[in-house]
Amino acid sequence: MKQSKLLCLCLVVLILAMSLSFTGCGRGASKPDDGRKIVKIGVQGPFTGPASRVGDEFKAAIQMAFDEIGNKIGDYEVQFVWIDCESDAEKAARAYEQAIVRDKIDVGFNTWHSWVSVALMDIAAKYKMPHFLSFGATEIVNQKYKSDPEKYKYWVGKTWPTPSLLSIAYVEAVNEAIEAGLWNPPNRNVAVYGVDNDWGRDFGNSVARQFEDAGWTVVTREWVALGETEFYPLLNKLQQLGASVVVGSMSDPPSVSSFIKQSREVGLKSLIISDGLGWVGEWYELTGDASNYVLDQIPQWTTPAARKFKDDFAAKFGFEPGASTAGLMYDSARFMIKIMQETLKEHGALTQENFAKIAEKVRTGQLTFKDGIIMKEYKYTNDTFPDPVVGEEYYIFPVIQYMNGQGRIIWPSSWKDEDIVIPDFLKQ
Amino acid sequence: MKRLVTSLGKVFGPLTKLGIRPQIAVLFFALLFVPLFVRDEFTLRLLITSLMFGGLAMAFDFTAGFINIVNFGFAAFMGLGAYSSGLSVLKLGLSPWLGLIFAALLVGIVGFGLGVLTIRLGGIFAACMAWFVALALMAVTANWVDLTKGNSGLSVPPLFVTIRNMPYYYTILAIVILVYILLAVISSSKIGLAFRAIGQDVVAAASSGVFATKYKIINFTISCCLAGLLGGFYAHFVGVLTPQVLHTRNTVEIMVISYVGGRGTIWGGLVAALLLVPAMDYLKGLLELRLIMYGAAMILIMIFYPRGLAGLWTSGADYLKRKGVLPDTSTVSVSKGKTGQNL
Amino acid sequence: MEMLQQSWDIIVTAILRGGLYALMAVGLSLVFGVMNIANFSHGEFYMIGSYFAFFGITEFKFGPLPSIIFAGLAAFAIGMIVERGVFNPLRQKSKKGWLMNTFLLTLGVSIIMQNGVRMIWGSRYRGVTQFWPGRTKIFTSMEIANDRLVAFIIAMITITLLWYFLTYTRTGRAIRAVSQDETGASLMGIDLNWIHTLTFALSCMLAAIAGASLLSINPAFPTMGVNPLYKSWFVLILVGMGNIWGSIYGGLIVGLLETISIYRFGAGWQDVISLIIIILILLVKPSGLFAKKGVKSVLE
Repeated sequence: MKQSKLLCLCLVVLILAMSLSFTGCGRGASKPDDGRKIVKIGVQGPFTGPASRVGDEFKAAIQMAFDEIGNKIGDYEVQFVWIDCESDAEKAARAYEQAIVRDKIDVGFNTWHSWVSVALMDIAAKYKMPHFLSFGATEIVNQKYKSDPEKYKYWVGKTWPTPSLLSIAYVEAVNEAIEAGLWNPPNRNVAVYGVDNDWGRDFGNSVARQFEDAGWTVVTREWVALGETEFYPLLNKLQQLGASVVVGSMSDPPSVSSFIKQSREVGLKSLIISDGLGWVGEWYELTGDASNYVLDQIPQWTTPAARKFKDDFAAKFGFEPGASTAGLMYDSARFMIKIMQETLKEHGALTQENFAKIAEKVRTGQLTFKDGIIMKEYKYTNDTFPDPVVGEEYYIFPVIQYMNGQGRIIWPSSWKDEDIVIPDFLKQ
Repeated sequence: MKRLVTSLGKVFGPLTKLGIRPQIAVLFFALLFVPLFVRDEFTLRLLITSLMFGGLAMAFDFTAGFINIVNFGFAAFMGLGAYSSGLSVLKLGLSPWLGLIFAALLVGIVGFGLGVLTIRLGGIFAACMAWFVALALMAVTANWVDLTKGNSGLSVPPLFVTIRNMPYYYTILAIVILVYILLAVISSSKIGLAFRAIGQDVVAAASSGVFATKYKIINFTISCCLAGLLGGFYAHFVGVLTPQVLHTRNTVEIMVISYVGGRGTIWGGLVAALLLVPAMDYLKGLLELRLIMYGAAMILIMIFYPRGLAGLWTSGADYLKRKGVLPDTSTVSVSKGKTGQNL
Repeated sequence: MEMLQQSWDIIVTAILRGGLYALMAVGLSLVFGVMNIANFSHGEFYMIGSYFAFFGITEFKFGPLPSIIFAGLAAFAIGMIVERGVFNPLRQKSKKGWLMNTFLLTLGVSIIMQNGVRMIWGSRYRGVTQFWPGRTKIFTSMEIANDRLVAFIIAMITITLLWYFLTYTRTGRAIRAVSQDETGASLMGIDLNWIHTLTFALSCMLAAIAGASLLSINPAFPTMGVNPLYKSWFVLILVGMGNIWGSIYGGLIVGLLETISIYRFGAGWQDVISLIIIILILLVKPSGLFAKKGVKSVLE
């Protein structure tokens, strides 16, 4: 009894000691004295917890972008401080404050969840820490920014615009197809579904409003729990409502692939728009040919540079990157590199103050990024900020239709691969 | 040494009679002066979080360790407090301070109602019912979008205009001291004895004239009330709420802290929070490995040292007494600490 | 006619949904009844089963059915290791506060398994499009994937086999004896340690079979076990402990509640509605709908 207690105590102490030494090594945090110049960039992301999959892609894409420049900005060596948000606002804020106070980061970069963005905006304002290019996309971020633009000016730019700016493309794609006589839907009813979180609701509601503005009737809105994989009841309901278009977004692959497969099983006679089906690289392995005819809005690996990135990524990390996570992150990271290089060129040193100065140029559209593999130009203006400029020459997600595992662009017409294909079961 | 302890004993004597442990009084006293020496905003924030979890763990222990009912929906009561405080400020225009009190009262009432319905049955049944109610609450928070903004998150105004952590630190310290004094005084009073009796053997306690259900409901209500208060603080400290706050994951976190601290001691949870929260934070760089170690440590402690940190303290104190380093004054409270272990 | 068709669809959906819950709940009920452990790592064995089935198909090129059996056996082995490594040592040491201590142990096991899997296999989704191609129509307006039907049949066969094992074999009867009276059983010369290990491993196997047979519907990823865990707890508490057939009814009831509430109130509210109804049922009948006398109940 006594002995085993002692043993246990020793074990615990051992584990603790081991871990302390582990992290001790990881945090060789203080700046070196040997005259090397170091810039510390604090990268926020969900590196553990329920959204860690995204975190993995982010980390990998950022590393690829910075490896290409040898981890150097001028004579500065780039050091990363990975700030794990664990998908929790309180933990994220704490970790961020730690990175600023303890690790002494010079600049902040990226987030994933909108609620994390909201919690961090206050911290960034408190320390006047310029924080560039965050994914947190939904309306709540804009509202917070607009409540006090002067205070929150350190929160510089969203990598992903508010869902409504993008989702309008579906309405246009569908209406254009109808006008062109490609499809003659039995009614102008649309059913909206979505995952029950900030993203799914924001997307669903904005696309519903846009369809209504275009003269459609929204017959129902259905929100399902994250991770739900049983959709027979929901699909039966949709089947009976008989809407011509079923539109929505689910951010987790198990749900979305089950939804698509089961919609084919119940024989749903609607055009399915599933925003975000292709977000993870392995979507086709999960969904199979049930995904035929489904519309999605996702960047494609169209340019040679993009395809090269995709292949390099898969070779290096062993899984397929998603265009809208790893791909967009890669662009975002390279925009960040450009921002850093610009800061160095203009102000001569990579410090927090200088980054804050350059933030002004990013916000007003004087500093943009044109060499992306996904978008033509990443640009903010005073009117759009914190959203990027959305448009064909700037930031736009094409609408695609899946066929046998391939996405073919059907909108906008200038990028179009093919016309939309309407399957027989949708023709009356 | 011995003389020092004896004279200290005189100072703390009255406190000890109330049930307040000298080592915790010293701890609080020390915590009062921390901001004078620590200028580091992050350390303060870490302490705020630790204290918050400490308060929650104490309130949790008050039911789990005394009347032996594990409130497995604890985080939801805290989350309910957070939302009701935040919403009362946003919709009713209360000041955040009134919001805190409103949250405490409202969650207390909900806890009372739930207690009346479920607690007479005790044991795993009450635990599961609290859990189901918690899951339902979380689903309601996520779906009642008009009120709570659902999963998009609710922005909540802060307690203070200033953005420094210092005022928050003193607020949470005051709350935690209050929580501790309240719980310690109750648990060492006659009511507290009744709680222990109920927790150990309901049948015997009932037949010896203790009206068990009444005491259990009182206990449960107090615990929920405090969870609501701390939840209100959480809301105004973090500034954004999502239904994830009500998640079972958080209940587990609080539960582990309270158990590692030692059941039926009240103070154990506080000390454990002050150790575990910073430790987990320090190990953040290890990613999954950190959580695996956390799980392993949990298993090892449960198998080999189920009495937790408080048990360690007690055996340490016993050892010193046997060696004659410490005078044998506080036997009463020590033995109380022990009986609390008998689940 | 429309009405009839609609209710029939709902019932078929509910049965398919409930079959899985039943299979998970049986394992949970077994462990609670025999070992008095409120197992919160049950969902992790569901997850492990899913992973093993995936590797069975893609790495070892087994067919669907052998993969599912392989997953069950692998989880059986892991379950034995966990029982021997975690619960057994605690039982040898002290039985004081057993229920709560083991509850925390299962939480620890769950944390380790979730994060261990994430560390080893990463967080990518591993799934197959389908096991058995094709769809079937059973008096409904909708077609149901064969995978789903087969998964349901596998669940029912597994439960029947388990029932047979517990009723007609020597070891099975020993397990039931331990669940009713541990001291008496050990006086009869039953090796308690072995029975406990076997029970836990069996329970893990059931969860793994559930996870494996649904691989084509639910791809494997580290945190996939949470939902099935919750649902199987709903079933377990609803029907009461120690009743294997009761778990089937319970699974169907929970399935039906969820299906109807999705239908009537919208998809987000299913948890709220079904939980409120379960809570109401329990307030009236706290020991559960089908609790057997003489078996440990939730009241203890």
